[in-house]
Amino acid sequence: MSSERRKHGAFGHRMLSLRSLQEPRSEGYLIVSGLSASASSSLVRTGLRPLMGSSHAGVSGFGVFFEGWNLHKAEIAGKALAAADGVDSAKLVNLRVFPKIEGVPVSGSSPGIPLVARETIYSRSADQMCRQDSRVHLSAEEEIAAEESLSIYCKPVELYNILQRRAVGNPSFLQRCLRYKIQAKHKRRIQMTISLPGSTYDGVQAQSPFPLYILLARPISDIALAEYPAVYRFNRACILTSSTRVDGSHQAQANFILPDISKLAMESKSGSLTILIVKCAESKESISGFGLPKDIMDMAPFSTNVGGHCLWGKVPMESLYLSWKMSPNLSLGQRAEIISTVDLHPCFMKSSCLDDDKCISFQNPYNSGTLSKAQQFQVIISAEEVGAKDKSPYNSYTYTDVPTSSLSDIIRLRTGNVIFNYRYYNNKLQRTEVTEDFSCPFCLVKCASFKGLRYHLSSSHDLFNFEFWVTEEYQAVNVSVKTDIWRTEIVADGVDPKQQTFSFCSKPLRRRRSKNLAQNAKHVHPLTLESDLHAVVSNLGKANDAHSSKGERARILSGNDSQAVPGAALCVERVLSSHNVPGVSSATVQSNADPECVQSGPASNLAPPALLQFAKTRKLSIERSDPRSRALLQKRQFFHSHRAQPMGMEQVLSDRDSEDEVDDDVADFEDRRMLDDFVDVTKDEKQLMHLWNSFVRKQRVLADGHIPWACEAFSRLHGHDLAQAPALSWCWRLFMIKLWNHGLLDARAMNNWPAVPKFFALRNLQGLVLSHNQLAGTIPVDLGLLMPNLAKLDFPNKWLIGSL
Amino acid sequence: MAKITLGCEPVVGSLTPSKKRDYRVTNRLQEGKRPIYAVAFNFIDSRYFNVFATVGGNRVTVYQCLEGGVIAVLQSYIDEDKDESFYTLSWACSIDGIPFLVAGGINGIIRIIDTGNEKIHKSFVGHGDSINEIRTQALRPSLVVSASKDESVRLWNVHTGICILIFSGAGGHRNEVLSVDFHPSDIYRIASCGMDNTVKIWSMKEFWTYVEKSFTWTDLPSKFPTKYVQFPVFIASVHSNYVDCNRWLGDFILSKSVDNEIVLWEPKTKEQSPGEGSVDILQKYPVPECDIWFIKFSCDFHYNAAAIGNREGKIYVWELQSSPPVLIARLSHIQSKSPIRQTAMSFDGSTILSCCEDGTIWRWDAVATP
Repeated sequence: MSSERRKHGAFGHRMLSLRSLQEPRSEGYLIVSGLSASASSSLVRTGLRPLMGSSHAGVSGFGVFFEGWNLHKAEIAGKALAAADGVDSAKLVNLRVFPKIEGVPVSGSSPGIPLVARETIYSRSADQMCRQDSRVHLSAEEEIAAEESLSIYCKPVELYNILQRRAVGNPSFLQRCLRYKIQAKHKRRIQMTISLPGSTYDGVQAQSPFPLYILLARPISDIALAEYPAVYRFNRACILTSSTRVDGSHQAQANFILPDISKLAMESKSGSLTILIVKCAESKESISGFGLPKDIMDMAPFSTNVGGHCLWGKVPMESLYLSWKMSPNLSLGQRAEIISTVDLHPCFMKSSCLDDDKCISFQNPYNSGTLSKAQQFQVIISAEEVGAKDKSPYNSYTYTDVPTSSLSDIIRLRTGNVIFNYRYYNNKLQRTEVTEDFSCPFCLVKCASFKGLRYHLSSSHDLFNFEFWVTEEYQAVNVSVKTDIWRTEIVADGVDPKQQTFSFCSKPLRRRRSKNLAQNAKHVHPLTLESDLHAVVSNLGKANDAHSSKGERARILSGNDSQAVPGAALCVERVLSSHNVPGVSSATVQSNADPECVQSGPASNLAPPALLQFAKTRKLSIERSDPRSRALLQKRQFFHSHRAQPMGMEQVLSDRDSEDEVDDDVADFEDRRMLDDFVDVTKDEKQLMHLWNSFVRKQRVLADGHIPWACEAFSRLHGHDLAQAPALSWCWRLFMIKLWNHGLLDARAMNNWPAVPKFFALRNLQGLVLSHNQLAGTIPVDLGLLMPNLAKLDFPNKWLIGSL
Repeated sequence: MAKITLGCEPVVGSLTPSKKRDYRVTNRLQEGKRPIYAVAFNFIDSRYFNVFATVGGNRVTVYQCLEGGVIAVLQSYIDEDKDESFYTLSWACSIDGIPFLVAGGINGIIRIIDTGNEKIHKSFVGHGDSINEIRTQALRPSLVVSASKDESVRLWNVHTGICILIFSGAGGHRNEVLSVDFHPSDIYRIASCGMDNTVKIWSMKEFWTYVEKSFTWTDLPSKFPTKYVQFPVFIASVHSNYVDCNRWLGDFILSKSVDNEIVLWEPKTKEQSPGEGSVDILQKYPVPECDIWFIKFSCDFHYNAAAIGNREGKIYVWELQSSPPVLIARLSHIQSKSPIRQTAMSFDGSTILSCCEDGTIWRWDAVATP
């Protein structure tokens, strides 16, 4: 693209953005609460330019300003836009379902920001990341082609929608981690850091203050009189050691995590939290003389019941809280620093462990003169919200010229905004969308941070290529579709995918093949990568250079496809670099269209996967014969085996085979009717016969050996019904005895069924034996042998036999 | 064979014509050289009560009976297959009331001819052999039933082209099914008879949901859950030879074999044991020289009279509902010598058509009684 045109575009944009800000439509113009018109114009001056200027929307980097259409009504912003944009809404609606994000103080809060087709600009200065309205004037055919090429997003997005639904119940590890991060962020705890300024103590303090112990403690009795010691309870003590020992510039610091500011207010008002600073009089050597290992030496004076002279001072939390509250920085997620001067008094310190609590007590010495004099020195106490921000250029943006009253809103709005640029039409055009709260545009997962989003995108949506950009002004992701990954799924019209040869492409096991591959090397990945990745590739290459051709090297790359797709690697690598250099130039990627290569796709980012030559030419005999037999199948008419009705081709080719099917409805009906013919059988007997017959038919109980299983399964299946109807269960019992009588049923197996004992309840036993006698004309000689469980019922066997 | 107990002997009609009505030949058509097996008036649509159709060879022809013995040819359809020989036809109509002509024959393919639009509406395949008779359910004229040489009876929906039920299997016919008929009022009942010398009465009451389903079926007919009805509710052994025609007369059944007579009998099903039952033979309508099979009788709309041809080309018209049976007329013509396969009585019985083995159609009209 010519630079002139670009300039024109930029200029045009600026004009438009001004217009859109100055002539707001009353309805569609959304105003951030507390953001006046002057503030918004000042935003423009500070470089927060509208993201895109088009006839539809003028959108700032915050995603705040909408123009031209009413977002209140647009629940799914994309749909409305698609209608407004004249784009097939069905095609794009998947792309544009935005999450409803709470807590964004935008009236009619709609997180989505319209997509606008724009021309991709390849040179990206940081200033141009959010591109100007350089809407390309395409011819009608080109526009159609562009729309078509945009539709390549549909399939992957559809897939991800499906995956997203699946992931609802069972989120991935990454998502669980991110959720935890978000939760942690919501707690808004404060990290307090206490350190000593490097220079101050030289003048003020004669001797080095180290080692210095810092404790966050609760007073038990605060009055430090001579006779009554001041007692504090604490959990943890931090030690500050000499800063010079580690590094001249590095300050030693103590970190504490405090609850969020509102809870802190309560704590501080009650005065129950105090920072204690203790300087032990003894030298370090004496402490270590206790023989403690070095890593727990920190706690040495406090973990054991020791005592000693020391200097101590305290900083009440209340004063800290008040100063934090005053400073706007903390609420904006920035660091609030206070330099505080502490008076250290000499005293006698005694620490003890009472129960689980560690206590420390200070007692003013009677003879203060003997001890070292009171000292005074400064500490820096800084506080910031835990995880409030990542160290990223985007967050270090300086908000000059912005009134402090609206700053917090702006920052909150701004932090989670990520710009997504969807490239299409051979990367010539792009559509842009802005999500909030670091949400993924495909599956709406909130990713807590840009880093989280980065990991999420490259791990969960690897059908796309991602480029990540962070500058002071923007967090942006460029998205393009990996065309080669799903090429196999794209089948030309009129070609039955089932008839396509399925080729399995695996890593070559032997090097002998590498020669063969070398011929195909032209088809394979002509990648020109970023410097970082370059090294990796060349390393890979080197490792194999000794015995492999160019093709082999290419194989290794494509072999990576399966585990970590090169595109994903590309993303990660580039992200790393993008941290340091905001405006990295994109990877230049070409594909040499090889006339021999049938599968050579469009000049897309990545080359097609290598296809083994023999896989194309040599088919298995079964594959070859399949189309022929298929053609034969299609030539003649087939009839349904039961209905003798002509079948459709799809029915013929389907997997269902009706040949040996039994129509259970009819069979049941006929069975019932057959049973109805019996005159010497009771209703319950008929019912049981019917149940058994249909069970046997459905379960295909064919052989004698099936009977034990069938009986058990039957009693499980109809156990409820049998329990409900005593007469029916009675029939069932008789039937089982009959089976046993015929030797089809093993008495032991019968005995062991869990469902059976309740059938053979005690009170029915007599009848059972009686009926058995009637049926078979025999008496069970040993009931205990027949059913040991019954024998356990302490039945007089003799009586049974005897009475019969 | 039904046992005849003392005092329950059937009433046999006298062969002396009562001369209640007199018929004269008013027309004679030579349709072709091939035998004409079936002729039928359209009783389905009152607009076309004077329209009849014949089948012979691979041809289906639609005629109109006009005043004065005139017969006008309306339509003629010829099957592309020259070897097709239609044996039977029946009038039906679509749900929209378009008259359909349903014909079947040696090929086993049932042709549904849309006579309103003069085109083939559907062709039903499914029968494994030739089709001997097709009848239409007068209460639901989209339902037709077909009897086939493949020992099965099938119920079809001509509107949607679905084979709803197949009456065959364990309790089905053991030989060709020659004739089938719908019960006039009990929509669930059909009677079929055939070369296994039996008449079987079937009930589709338990399967009626499938019949209803067939009217709304839009998927492929081969996916319809066609059900097999394997057991008839009644099996009657009235005859000792092929039973080639049966018709319901109320709850009684008229059937004929090759014994020179039509028999009226009552099927007596036992409540306790379906499938079995006894037969009470009520009346017999003698038809001399009617000892070859595949001669079918026909009745007027109200089943007041039945006309049947014989091997020698004579027609006997019996009053059905009188006891003892009264022979209304005995029609004979000097040139009518060929066996008459089937007759057709018009709505009121004033016109009798006969179709003959030699390819002629005869029209007899009642002479106005003085």
